[in-house]
Amino acid sequence: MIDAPRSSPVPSLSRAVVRKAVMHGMTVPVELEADARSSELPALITDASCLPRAGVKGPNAAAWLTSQGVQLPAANHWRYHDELRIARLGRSEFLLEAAAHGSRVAQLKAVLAPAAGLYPVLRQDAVIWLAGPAAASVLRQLVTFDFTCLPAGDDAVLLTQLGGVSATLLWQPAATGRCYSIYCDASYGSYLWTTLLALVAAEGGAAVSFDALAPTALASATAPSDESNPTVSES
Amino acid sequence: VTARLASIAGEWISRERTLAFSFEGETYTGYEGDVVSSALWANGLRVLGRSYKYHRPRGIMSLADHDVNVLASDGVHINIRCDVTPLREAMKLRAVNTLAGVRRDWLRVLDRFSALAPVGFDSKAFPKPTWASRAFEAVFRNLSGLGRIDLERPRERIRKEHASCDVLVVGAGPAGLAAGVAAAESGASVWIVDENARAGGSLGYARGGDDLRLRELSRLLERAAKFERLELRVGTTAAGYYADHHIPLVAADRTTKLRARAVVIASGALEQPAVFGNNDLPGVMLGSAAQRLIYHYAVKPMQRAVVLTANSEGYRVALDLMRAGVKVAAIADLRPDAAAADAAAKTQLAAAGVPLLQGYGIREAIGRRERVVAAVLTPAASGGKPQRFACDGIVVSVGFAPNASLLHQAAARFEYSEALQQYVPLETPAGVFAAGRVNGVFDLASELADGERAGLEAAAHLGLRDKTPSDSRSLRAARTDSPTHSFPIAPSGRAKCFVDFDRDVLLEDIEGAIESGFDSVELMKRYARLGVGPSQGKHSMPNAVRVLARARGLRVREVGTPTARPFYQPVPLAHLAGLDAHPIRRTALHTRHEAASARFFRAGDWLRPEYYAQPAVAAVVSIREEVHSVRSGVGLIDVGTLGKLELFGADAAELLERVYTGRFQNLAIGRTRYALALDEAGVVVDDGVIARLGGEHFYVTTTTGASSNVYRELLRHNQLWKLDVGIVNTTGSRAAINLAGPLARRVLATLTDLDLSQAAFQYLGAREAQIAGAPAWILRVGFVGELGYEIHTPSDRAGAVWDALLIAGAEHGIRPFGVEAQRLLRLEKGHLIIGQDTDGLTNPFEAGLGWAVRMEKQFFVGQRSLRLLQKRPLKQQLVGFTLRADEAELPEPCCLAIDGSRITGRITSLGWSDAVQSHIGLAYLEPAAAKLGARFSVRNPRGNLVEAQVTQAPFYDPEHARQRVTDAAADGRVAA
Repeated sequence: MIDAPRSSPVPSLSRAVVRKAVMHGMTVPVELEADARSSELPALITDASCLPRAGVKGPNAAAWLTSQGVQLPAANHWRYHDELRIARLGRSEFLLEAAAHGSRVAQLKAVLAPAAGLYPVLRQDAVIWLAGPAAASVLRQLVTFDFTCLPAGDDAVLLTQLGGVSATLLWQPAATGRCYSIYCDASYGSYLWTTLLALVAAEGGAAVSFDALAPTALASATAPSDESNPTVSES
Repeated sequence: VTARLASIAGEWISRERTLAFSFEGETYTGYEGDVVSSALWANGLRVLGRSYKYHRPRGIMSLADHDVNVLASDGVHINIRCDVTPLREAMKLRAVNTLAGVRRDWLRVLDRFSALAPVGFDSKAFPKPTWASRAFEAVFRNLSGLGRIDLERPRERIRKEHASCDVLVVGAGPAGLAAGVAAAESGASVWIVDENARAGGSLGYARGGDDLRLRELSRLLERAAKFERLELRVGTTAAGYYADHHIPLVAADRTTKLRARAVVIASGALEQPAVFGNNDLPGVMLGSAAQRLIYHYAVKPMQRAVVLTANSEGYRVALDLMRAGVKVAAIADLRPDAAAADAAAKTQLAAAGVPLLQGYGIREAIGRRERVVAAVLTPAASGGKPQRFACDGIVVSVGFAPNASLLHQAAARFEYSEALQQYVPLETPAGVFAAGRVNGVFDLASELADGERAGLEAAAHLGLRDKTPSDSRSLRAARTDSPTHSFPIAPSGRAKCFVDFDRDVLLEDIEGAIESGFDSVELMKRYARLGVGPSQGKHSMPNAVRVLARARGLRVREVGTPTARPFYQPVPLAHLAGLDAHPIRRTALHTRHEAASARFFRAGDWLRPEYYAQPAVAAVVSIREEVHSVRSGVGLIDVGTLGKLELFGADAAELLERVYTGRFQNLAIGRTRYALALDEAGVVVDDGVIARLGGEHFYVTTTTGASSNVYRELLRHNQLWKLDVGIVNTTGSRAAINLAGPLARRVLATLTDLDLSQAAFQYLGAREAQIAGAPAWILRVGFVGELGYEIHTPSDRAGAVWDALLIAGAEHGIRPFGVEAQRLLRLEKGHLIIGQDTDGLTNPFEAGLGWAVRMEKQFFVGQRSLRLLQKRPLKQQLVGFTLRADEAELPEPCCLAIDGSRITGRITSLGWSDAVQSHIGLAYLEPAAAKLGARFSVRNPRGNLVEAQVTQAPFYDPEHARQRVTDAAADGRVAA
């Protein structure tokens, strides 16, 4: 039986979409009208929910991941390793996210099964990337946390409330300011995307395609070229 | 006529840009940088507004945001505060609360009938019956008040943002700027906020005839500008103080919720009016207002002035007036002897021939054509002959009140200083510091020193420097004369003496309130409506407290002050609403429902389809069709809002046994069981289904509204009891679809390899399978009373599964059904809904859920309470009932069952059932009335009694035969 196609929890931008493609089983816009101006925009967001994710928690989760060759960050920190973004949510819970074209998450999910002290966590987050010089201004309207207290290159994981919704935030330096990765419960994805998009637009920014922002957001990842990547196909 | 002066150093206006605007239909011009009031005054207008109650003419009083004499509307925004609202090109303004305009206002006649409406008249005069009182109220609301609300006004979205800093300084006057610079020099990140359009406070306008203070201001601003981490925000009001130094900063275009590590309050002091006859006439203004007009806006306040003073500041005002070309007709000094500090000023004034009447006050302002034409001066002590001075303006400088609202809100302790005639902070909370005039420090050099002290103390509080003992007592003592008179109040025999200008509260009103027994400050405030207007008592409360103290023979400190609460200034509702962002949860199938014309309703945080609308079809018909499709064919409903929890670990079954009333240790893998949760009092709080997916792996569903609570309680108990359980909340990440109806199996079979036969997959079974290429857990359920499969799949695959089910079911007439149809289907089956058919007191025995309670267990939450309840007779019992099929006046859920004059129960659910061909429902009744076949009366919303009959529930398929459908029937080989 053919795998069921995936849908994003974030509303589609059908009017602004120039070109779509299937990525990791999900149809995503790979070109939006605003892409051409992306380097000039003060704020940009994109829907990155298509990236495969997995979660694992429990007292033996760290040991299991280590046994799988995953290098672990310290508690409440994240890192890139082996085409994988690993965020440690507290001491014994981990969020694993594939790099743009990576298959490492699928490999880990295939061998992950409940065991003593090891519990798989279904991760269906709505994931929104926010970047641009005005990104901090957008976040200031939704988050109490003072991001300036941590340097742009800090690899902290922030569990906070964003616009009244529980969210996980990571960030990394970008050409202009920081690129923030925002994870929230899928059921709040539409609300949070709509709210963020309104704020981004108020700053003069716009939504861009995943491809337009991915080089910024995944600067530390090593991504193979599209030609060698079987998970991407034009539609 | 223009009152605009030649260019003045430090003026706020930009003469390069002229702005045209209209007020009351007439066109005027002003300059960029003007506020509306200054532009109007510059154009020679004096009557700028009408008072709240008597429609008295009003002009400029404080020219700060401390009074509301001049309120206008531009057709969109109401109650625009013209004293602080920047002038803009093409503004079209009209004064509020007038009939036929501010000049002709026909309602000014009310001033002549004021004796008929003394203080408290509205409490006493409005008669019964209620309709008469309402009629009176409507009349008076039309005659008085502020601007009219435009209900069609477009929604404004005001930016709301969060920020943080080390030190927040409230007030950018001399003390505030000095504090900010000192803190910044110590390495702190600093915000300085000020409600005025520019920084400087009194340095910019209280000049005393020269520009020395203006130069001090330039020096301070230059120092402040050197610090990158010092942010100066003007036009920004610190609207309140909340715990942990959380301060809302309100500007015209945004609200900033600032979290500071330390706060310096340098909010200054508010100049106070004097009370004398006609003290509200246009032309009577505070000294600081006259100075603001001159130095901020280059506007001559009047041609000929009488100055009423009781402090050094009054003499400085007189010098400023003379500098602006105003003829000072006389100075009345309430004090018998002027202070030594005033000697130099007095010499200058005497040289200019200004008469000085020491020990004199003003008894009355004389008005003609609604503006001042003279002032009558009398000796402050009894005796002496009144003297009349012609003038077109009276300038009042008799004292100040500390602007200490934020300090009060921060729970600072105060003491009353007789030397200063004001409250001064005695002790402030950790991290909160006071500086400058609000701290009782008035001399400029002392204010600067006090500001620096506070800034350094704030830095020391943050650990940026060593703490050094310091206080403000010596700085307070530098001022040898009191800046504030102890009783600047002179009753006038005939003219009105205003204490509160917002609500037209007179001196006699306050005296009347005290005589009526409202003789504490809080009672007086409420009875006399004192300080409850938009100014919040900024200019009225100190004088009212003095009147109260004198009337009761007390000292001011013994009377106290009213409680100060946020907000310090009224905050527009649009600022409070902000972006109007309210978290709403949508299921993974939301877009499918939208495409199917679903009508949504809010279920807790969720949006759920109530029903699916059809063109030209009534909602009730659509709902009945949805019910029919489930009963006769197949339907599907999105139940993704159910709470969905996974439990792993060796103690998972043990945790469930303790939290729920049923048995789960013995639940077989691949089976489900109804689960009922109680609180410690034995009250039903939730229900759901628990499936055992593995030896140490359980899947728990909860009701939509209780998922967070159940998750939290499971986590809490797991920790409390130190059990080995991992709990994962998958409510938002897993979708759920209930495929129900006699043809459900036929539809599902086309999408899965799972063996769906009765033998392989029985009622209450649970299986893991692929459905249309998506991983899923399938639970065989019967909530709606038909063959049902609840499909739980990752939310990103849910759309594909939903689409596949609709395609596969198309030949069987499949259709989605909404929550309304589901409610009726489950009612036919007699299944209750927690929260609708139970309330905050219902125990399982009353709800007919005793079968789900295993009292023989060693322990579960609520068990002890149930043991007690078991020994008592039931108070109520949930029963099914029917109404006559042709009943026209239907009751509604929550309608009461009535027996004579007694309430014997209440309805919880009601609906029309096509299957039963009757109105069916559930109700709680007293056990004696709950016998099968018994009749009882229900009072419907119109007050009429409707007869109902207790009926056996379930109403539909009481033998549960629909769940035992044969394979042949389910597969369509024989009729079901």
